[in-house]
Amino acid sequence: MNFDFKLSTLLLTLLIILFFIGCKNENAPLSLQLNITKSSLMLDENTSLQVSALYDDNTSKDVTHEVKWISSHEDAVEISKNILFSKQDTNITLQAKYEGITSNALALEIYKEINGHRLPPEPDETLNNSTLLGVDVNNNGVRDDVERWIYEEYKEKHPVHIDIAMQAGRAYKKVLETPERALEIHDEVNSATTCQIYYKYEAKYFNEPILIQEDAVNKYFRLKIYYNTQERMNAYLQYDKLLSGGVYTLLEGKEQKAACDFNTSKYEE
Amino acid sequence: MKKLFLIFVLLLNPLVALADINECKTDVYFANGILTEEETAYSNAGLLREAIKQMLGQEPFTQKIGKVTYAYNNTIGFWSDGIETFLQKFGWMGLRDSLGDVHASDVQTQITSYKQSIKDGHKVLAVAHSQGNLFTHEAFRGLDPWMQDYFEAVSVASPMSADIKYGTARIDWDNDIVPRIATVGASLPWMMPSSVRNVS
Repeated sequence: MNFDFKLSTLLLTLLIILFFIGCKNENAPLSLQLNITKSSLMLDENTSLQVSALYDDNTSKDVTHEVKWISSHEDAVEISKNILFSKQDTNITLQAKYEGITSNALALEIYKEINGHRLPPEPDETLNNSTLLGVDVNNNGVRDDVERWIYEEYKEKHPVHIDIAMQAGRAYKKVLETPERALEIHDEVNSATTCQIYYKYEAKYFNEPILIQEDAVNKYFRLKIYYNTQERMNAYLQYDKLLSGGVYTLLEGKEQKAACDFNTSKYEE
Repeated sequence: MKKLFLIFVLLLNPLVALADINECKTDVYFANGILTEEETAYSNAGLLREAIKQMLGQEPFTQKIGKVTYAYNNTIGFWSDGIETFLQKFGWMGLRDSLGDVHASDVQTQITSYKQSIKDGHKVLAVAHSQGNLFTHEAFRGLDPWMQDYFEAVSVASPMSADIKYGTARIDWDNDIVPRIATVGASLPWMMPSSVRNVS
């Protein structure tokens, strides 16, 4: 008797549990569909989100305001109701969660623009410094951390500073690739400084404006920003040592301007 | 950098004198000091050229100056550069050369370049900064005696007690430690006598 009572109580409990589980399953969606208006977003801009819950009876319901958001970079965005505000320029993955169901993952690229130039995202430091050449996702020949530094550092100055520093960024890559060819690549490596000398001193002799007061390409840029790891510095020192003992002649006049590898006509008055 | 520019401007008096010799062009050489990488030496040479242009004017510059160059001596770090300077100053470069250093070939390249300028009918003006004075001095001594008459120099912050060439114009700053090294060992028997120095 006592045994039958315990068994009955256990079965009743199981039935109650199954009842509630059954009720819950009946209301849970089969899947969640996350949609975003823009998959690429400029920093400090916003975009709208929409989440639909899809049920087994082929109905759907907008649950955007009820979901919990899952972002791969918590600090990169802020979501209020259905609006996403971008706070950091980086690439993130976004998902929504509702009633225990997780939505599809959407990739969102948040980028920064300076003077109309779209910056590459800040590279992962470990990955970027694991090779001599580092990360260059936009494949423009300038390492991404260097490109970002240049645009941030010189955004308030005349744009020729950025042009010259980017030229140096492209040229210095050759030092990392083939430091042993120092004498062959020397002129090209120094071309940004040659260009800089023109806009700092020489331009006035050709009735063009002096655009540079303080060097865009200097010792700090080289030693702290570009050759910023021991391996990169070693390549640079190898290159530099091979130039020692040499006597080098400065280019004169318009030859200096010809060393600029960007369109200089935009700076002519 | 402005200080360096001022140094150049103050020290270009010899060029003014040379500017009176219309038939003669002068090739200008800049010799860098310690802790200077090649591209910085290049920038400084550009600054030197600008100082000369501002002093002479663009047209006379074209007439009087053949080429502006820099003779580069690489940096191998503060202590290594310091030791190299010490060995050069006290005439012990043989010790360093015996260790396989490229010092001798560095100087030889300068000598060859100076000789070529002189053979081209140009005078040579070397503007030497810090350790560059020691290299320039060695290179000057490597010239044939008749060529030394066509060589002039300006010393900036020289660590040498001797002049690059007897009577070379010099400028030091009282708060700069490098020229103070110049007095060290000046009385040693193998050191060259110091000329009258213009300390400003």
